[in-house]
Amino acid sequence: MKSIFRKHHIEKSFSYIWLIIGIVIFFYGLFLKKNIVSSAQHLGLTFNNWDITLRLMNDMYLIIYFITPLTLFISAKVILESFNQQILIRLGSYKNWIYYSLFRFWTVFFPLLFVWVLLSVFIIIGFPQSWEWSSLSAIDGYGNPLFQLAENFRFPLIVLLEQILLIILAISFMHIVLSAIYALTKKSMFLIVINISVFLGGIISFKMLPPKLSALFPSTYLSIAKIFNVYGSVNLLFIFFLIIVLASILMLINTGKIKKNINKDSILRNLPLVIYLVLCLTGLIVTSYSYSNLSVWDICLVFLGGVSADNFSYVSFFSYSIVYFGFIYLIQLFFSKEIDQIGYYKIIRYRSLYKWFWSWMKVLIFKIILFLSLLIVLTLVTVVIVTGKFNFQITLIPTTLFEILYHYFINGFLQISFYVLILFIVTWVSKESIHGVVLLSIFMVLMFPGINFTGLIPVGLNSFVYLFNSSPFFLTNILLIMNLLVCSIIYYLFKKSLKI
Amino acid sequence: MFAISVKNVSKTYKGLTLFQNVNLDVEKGKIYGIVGPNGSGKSVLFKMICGFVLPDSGAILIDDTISDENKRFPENFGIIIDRPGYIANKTGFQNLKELAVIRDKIDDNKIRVTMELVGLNPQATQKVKNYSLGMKQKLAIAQAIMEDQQVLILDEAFNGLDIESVDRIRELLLAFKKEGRTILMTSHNQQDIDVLCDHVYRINQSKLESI
Repeated sequence: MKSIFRKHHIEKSFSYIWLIIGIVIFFYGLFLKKNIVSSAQHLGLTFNNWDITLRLMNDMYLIIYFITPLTLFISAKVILESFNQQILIRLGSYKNWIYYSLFRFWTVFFPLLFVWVLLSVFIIIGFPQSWEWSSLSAIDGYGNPLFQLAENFRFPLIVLLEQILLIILAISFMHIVLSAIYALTKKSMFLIVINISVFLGGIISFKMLPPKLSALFPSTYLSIAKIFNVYGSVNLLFIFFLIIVLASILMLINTGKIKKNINKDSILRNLPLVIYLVLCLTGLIVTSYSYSNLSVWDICLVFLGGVSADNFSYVSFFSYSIVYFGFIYLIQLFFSKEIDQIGYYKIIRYRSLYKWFWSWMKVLIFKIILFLSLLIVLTLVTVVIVTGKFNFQITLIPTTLFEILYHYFINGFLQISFYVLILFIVTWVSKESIHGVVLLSIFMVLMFPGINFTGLIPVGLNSFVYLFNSSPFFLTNILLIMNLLVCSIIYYLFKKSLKI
Repeated sequence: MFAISVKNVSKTYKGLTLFQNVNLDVEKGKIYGIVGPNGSGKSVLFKMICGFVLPDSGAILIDDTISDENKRFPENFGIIIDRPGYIANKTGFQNLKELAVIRDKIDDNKIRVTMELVGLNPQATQKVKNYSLGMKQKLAIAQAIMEDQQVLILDEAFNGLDIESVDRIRELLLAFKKEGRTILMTSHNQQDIDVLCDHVYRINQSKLESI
């Protein structure tokens, strides 16, 4: 029995996914290598194996955009798969389940860490070898993340070992906290929302927040160089981590008692909607304050401005993501009910997938129109209240009010319809609500700079920044074509079997 | 005329052959039992009959009419498939109402009567998420019968029911049979099959065998 269990884990651990992850890290490593060589040549400094090894282990782009989401995904998957009555009854307590979940997490996650460390060491091939720091590591500035490490550690090997230990502690801590939250709430959507917040928080803290505030987000703790940047030291942090991990484990002994005192239903029933509204209003108020010198319409354009391939800012990106993808996420919750919970019983009564589809699509169409109308009214009213201005001139974008309203309502409607329809397809095909969340993440990635440079990928096309280079009527055509395309896919899928 | 006819139906799923040239004729006014081990394809057979899953080959006839694109889902079928489906944050009555408004054939009173018939309190304000497994099962049965559906497709309808409720539902199904309704059911409890069914079929090696 034990050998079967071991075999299963070995097979799982060495599945093809780690090969793909390895390839991604490897090619990113090659990119870093090229950068190091060109910086060293430009500055006339020497470089060695530690430059590439420690940079690949500490690179915040890799950590935030690749390692963190992967870690959160694995953590959530392990938690959701392992939390069931059959396992709980055998483990006897929530505390034991958290230990069990942590063990299972590491059986899945260990290959990733192994691949990451292995490639960081393997990639030194072709670089000069040394046990000391290079002169490139020791310079301040020029995008060198190793400067403080070189200043504080005699040997780079120690940094590598501490880095690995840091990752193990930080990731264990994160998984323990997520497991405890799930044991308390038992809400998978809540867990997913937290994971997304952690991921987005990492991105925001990386580029937009002062270093001290970066300390609030877990991705910071996956890089020893970043920790030096935030705390100026690392030894205290290890102690802090050990205390927190131990305290968490001890606290979990009483998880059962804590649970009784929480009226989770009342708190969690409307939580997604409340979080959504709070986030929207916060973003709106902050934008109004930050741009209080602009006119009312201009502030609206900033808040709902969105991003394009050549006109990107993190504030606009997150405003757009919160407002539009937040709304789509709420629709995802509706799909989960409509398809997964009572789908069969409704379809057999409608006797037609098209009638069933239209029964809720017409409601969603009404909700999208209502959403767009309320959003623009709420935005204008909030901006007027916060800034105390009644200046409604448009100066930021060289266009007319008609085109702005046309773009906002018509292209906004078509863009949201596209999101809704493609979300429906994913939910219909997979019957897994988590896949809808993955889709939203993909949408967000597609909005990053340089990706949608042709403007043909129908993501974020209702952003006002597109009006700088494109006519709203051209964008309407693209969105119409894409909506027709996804409708055809739905038509095709409705001729096929439902997922067994 | 048969209520349901399965003609030379074959179905594979992810490389696994579930059915190979299967035939089944279901007479009106009779109760048919389908038995077989877990994963043998009982639910898939029911989903094919209801039009949710399409056979790879062969045909399903409802009232001697071949199901096609325009008539994919049969009329007047009451079903329990996979598991009891419900909206967790609504009461039992609200759940049934949401389904009843689709056909708009019955009023609130009929919903209440049906709930009482299966042993649920229609006045209860309890949300379905707080129902026991047996109560959820009763709710599923209620939605399958509330519109006087003439054909009932019941996949494990007795799951989680207490002895008293099992007796009540058995009596109800036998009464439906007397009214001329057709029932196709599965159960892992041999007694349910023995007490209720006129004909029993076993799924064995991708075939349906009469017992």
